[in-house]
Amino acid sequence: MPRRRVWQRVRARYPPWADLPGAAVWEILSRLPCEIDRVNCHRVCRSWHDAIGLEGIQLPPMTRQLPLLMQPLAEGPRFCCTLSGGASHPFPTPMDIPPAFRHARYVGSWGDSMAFLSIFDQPQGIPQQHVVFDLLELGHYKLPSIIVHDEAAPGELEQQLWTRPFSIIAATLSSQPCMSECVVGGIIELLHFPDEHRPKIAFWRLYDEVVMGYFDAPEVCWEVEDVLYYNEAFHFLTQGDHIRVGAPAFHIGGMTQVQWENRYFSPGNRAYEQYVKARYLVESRGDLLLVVRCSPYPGQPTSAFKVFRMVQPEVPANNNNVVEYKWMELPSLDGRMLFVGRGSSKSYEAAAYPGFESGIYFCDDEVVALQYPCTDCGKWTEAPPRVERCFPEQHPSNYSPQVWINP
Amino acid sequence: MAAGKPVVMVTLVSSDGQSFQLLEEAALLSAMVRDTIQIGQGRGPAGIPIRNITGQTLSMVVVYCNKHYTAAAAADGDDAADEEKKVANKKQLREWDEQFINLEQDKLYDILVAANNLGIDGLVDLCCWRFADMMKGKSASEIRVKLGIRDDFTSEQRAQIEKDSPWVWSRTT
Repeated sequence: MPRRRVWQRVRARYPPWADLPGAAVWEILSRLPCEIDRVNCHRVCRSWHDAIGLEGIQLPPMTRQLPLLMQPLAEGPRFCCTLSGGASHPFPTPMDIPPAFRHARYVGSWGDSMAFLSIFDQPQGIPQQHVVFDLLELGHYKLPSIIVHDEAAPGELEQQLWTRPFSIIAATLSSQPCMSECVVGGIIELLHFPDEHRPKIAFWRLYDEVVMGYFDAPEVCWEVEDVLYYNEAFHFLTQGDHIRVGAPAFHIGGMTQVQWENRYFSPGNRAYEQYVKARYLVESRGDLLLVVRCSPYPGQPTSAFKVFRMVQPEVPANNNNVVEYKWMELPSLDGRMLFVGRGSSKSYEAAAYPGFESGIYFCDDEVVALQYPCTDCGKWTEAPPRVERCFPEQHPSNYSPQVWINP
Repeated sequence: MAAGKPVVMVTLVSSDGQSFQLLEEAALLSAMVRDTIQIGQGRGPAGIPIRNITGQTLSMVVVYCNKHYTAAAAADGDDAADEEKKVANKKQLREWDEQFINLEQDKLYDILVAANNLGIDGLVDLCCWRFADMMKGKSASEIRVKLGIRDDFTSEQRAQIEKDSPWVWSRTT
């Protein structure tokens, strides 16, 4: 017994952080807006943990977590927390992720902590597998990587059944993946067609082994850029700022039947003085928003955003099943915090996050010369209009762009 | 500051016998000093003994009190006329605060405990912000290593906490 006491005295270190007054621990915890940080502090030692229940005083209520920025580092993904000022969380650490998924390409995210991954055996090769990966449970759902089509292949006249690999550009789900009726709505690129790089729309059920058929754009302005599941239908945003709304129905052994509604948005006085880098669809306060990301010239970093709200038309659809809609520019973000990313944009209320103000958070989802630069991320504020780099810098990646993950 | 007001000084004496003189109004930022003076003590030449706080720490606390007292007095003198100047002064004070509290963790501990004992709300707030910033993005074990804290949970307690917040526990211990 005496020996043990001596040992403890030698080990005792000044200052005794564990003996920090409970009130001070409480004050510190109440200044941590991120739940992950708070829980980690709870678990440091008994006296810190006991400070939580101090005299029954409740800590300021937790708000919903803000998305984490996934940064693809050489050792695997790192997750940077918006609430914690860009600090990274072990959520999970690269070592927690199965080796086969550690250097997968992230093509989007969905719901709570799900990510769409493309698995490659070599960088920039043909995807071996697509999965929906649960970063919390570390489990996954397999998605098909082969498409079967029975019309003329692109560039050919003869109508015959063909099978090809494809890669996912963006995707979203209609419901939790554990539900049997869960459908994936994806923007895909066909592979093994040298001259065919235009994005296509495809739908499949979560457990389908192959994708049956795809939907092409009749003209460039109807080529799809982003997808959002909204009001029980998949909304595809196109290069011309139009929307294709698709509600798929599946029949055993047959092709997918899709009920389409094409929403035509007249250009009106909508004009972008700058180069449009990307377009995103965001649901916010019950409205559908179009977020346009601009830079002065192609290849330059993001410099500005424009945000529009969809306005319903008063006239019914014309003969071609085309309905004319309008985008109304929002004069200000009005307290919104928008996180934009293909297939995974989200809107939050700044008022619920003390110390935060309205703005648009963006990540770098570009690919340049077979590499992902991963530099053009940060936050844009409207007054004064400027871009703030609020996440740690990283090197370009050879396996994935950045994505937002909702913890 | 109103002219003709007598200048009253207070002496604070640290645990290792160092004494610090400062304006009473600056010292009143501390709830503990306020209480002492209210019951009619501490104005004498012996000063107010501050237990458990060394001279090194107390000198920092005195610097903080002086700065915040002069800033507040200057703001009062300006009236509400120049809103822009007020905002600029506030920003300047915040920058000063940030620089002041940019300390290594051991010093920060001393200041935090001292501010807590003396009841200086502004300084407690400042220390807690800085400390919370240091905790951000760290797992429980990283915090333990950084601060030299021993994991003293029993296995039952750990199981209970795991039940309360299972999702981070499994990953970051």
